Amino acid sequence: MRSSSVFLASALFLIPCNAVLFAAALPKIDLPPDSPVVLLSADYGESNETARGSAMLLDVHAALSFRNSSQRKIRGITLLVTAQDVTPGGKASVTVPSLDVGPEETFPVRIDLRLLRPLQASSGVPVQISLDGVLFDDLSFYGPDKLSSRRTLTLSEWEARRDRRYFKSVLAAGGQEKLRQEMLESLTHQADRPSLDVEVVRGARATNFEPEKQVQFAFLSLPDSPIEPMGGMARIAGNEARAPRLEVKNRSDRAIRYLEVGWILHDRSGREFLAGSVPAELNLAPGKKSQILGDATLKFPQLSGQPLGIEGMTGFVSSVEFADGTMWIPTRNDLDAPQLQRVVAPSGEEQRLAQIYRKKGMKALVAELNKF
Amino acid sequence: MSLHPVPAQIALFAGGDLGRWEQWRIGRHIARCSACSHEVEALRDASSQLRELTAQMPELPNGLNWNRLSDEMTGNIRVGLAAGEAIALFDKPLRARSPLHWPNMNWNAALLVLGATVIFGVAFWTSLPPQQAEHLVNVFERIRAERIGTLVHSAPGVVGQTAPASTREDVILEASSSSIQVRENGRAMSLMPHSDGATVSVSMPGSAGVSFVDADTGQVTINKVYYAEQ
Repeated sequence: MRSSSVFLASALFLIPCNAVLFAAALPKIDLPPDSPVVLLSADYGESNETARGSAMLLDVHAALSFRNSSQRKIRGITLLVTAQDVTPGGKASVTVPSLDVGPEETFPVRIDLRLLRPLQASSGVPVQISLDGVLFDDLSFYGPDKLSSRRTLTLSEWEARRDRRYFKSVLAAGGQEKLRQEMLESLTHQADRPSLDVEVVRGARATNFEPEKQVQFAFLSLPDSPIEPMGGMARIAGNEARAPRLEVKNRSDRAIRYLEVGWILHDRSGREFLAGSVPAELNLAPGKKSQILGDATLKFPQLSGQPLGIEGMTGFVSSVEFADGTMWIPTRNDLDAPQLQRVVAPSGEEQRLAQIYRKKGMKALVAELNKF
Repeated sequence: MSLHPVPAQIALFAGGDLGRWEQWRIGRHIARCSACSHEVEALRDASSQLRELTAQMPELPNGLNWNRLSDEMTGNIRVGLAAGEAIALFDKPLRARSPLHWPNMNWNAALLVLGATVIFGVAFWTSLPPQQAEHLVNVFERIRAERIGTLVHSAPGVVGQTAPASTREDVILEASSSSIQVRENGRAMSLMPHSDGATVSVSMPGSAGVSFVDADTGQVTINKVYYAEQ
């Protein structure tokens, strides 16, 4: 009797202790005093912390609710997620583009985060969530922009405007039936794209059995692109690609400060997939050339469940930012080129519109397009 | 065979006084070497002549036992040979050592130790919890990968520079349609998309991302993980 009372007392003591410990493990949300968004609520629902061997596994499922406290419409937001005692070498972000949030309106942001950290890690707050940037409908920006969120959000907004304009023109020219066909094609395209797992390893280190070889890039010509790729190569060994080197020329009449080249790989059995992109911050005057170098190694464990052996590469200019802050992105016609059509995913906005059509029907889709 | 047995070994062989292994080993050499074979013949002849002479001799002096004397002499020769071999192990460079000079090994003992090691290894492995076993496999896999990677880079005919030595400080970004992760020294941070049909993307200087339409909110969401210096 006495021992069971001691056990019960210990259990009652330990339960609140665990609750306190877990509460300390939840993220700290830190917004600046002049932030254009205000945190209304944070629901951590089924979050939990469990021991796994000599480490702790922290699962955070956060449903955050923000209010637009500014006087302008918000088009996108990026939250910076840092966990210093978990990954000293890394950090994460959650970006929500394609928003349409007016003043005083609220919007949700969902974060599903998992941390693996040693048991002896510091007992302080393991995760901190802060604001990296907010994009408004006039393309002005607020925030520290540590993760180049301004560029990411602006690029998404340009793509969203391009695709809404395109679907509006389809609706105007061909009516709802033509728009329905476009949505069905988009959903099929999303489902047919090969799924791909990728690893990025810092430094140029091949760990493959197969000998390394240099492979030249072929380039897709996009007529309106302000950048002309002149040549390039990368080192390939089996399923690894590393150290791409590209030479590009500014053929526009404006200075360019940033560009990204998409990287399509071909394997031995003729399959193609979008491996990633090679971005470059530069200052490229009109008519000038520049070299772009990458130093990481990309590894592709498998493609659609089968081992991969890389044989060839194709590059294409996927985005350009001019010195005045305006951007160039491929047109819908450019993206209809068969090779790009096979491998490039529809934009986030096109996927969002297709999901509205799939879940709510044509009427809801038309209403959504007419909002802009 | 380039090296001949020393005279003392030939003498013991001729008298049948070596151990079984040594007798077989020296015998193999003598069967192929005419010089040593002649020497063995000569020794055996001398030995038989000695026996004939001793048979013709009158009684030995009192207290002198011929058989005991013979055993003592054989024993002294064995001690001398063993001491010589032990010293030779330290004096001679390894590559000059002939197979004939291998130290005497107790093969049974070696097999016993090997067997015990295998049994211990299997018992240890099967008693490990799955997570620790998986961790151990990963460690071995990493060591193997790093070794092979170094070999590939140093192989002749391979294009490119020598890769920098791998370090334990590597930060690895992983992207799949089910999660993106930044990992370093066994610590990890992952973001999971809240939807099916996510689109994976990586950027060369060091970020991995996944884009999806959130199943609950209907919003486009882009999760990314980065190297710290970005």
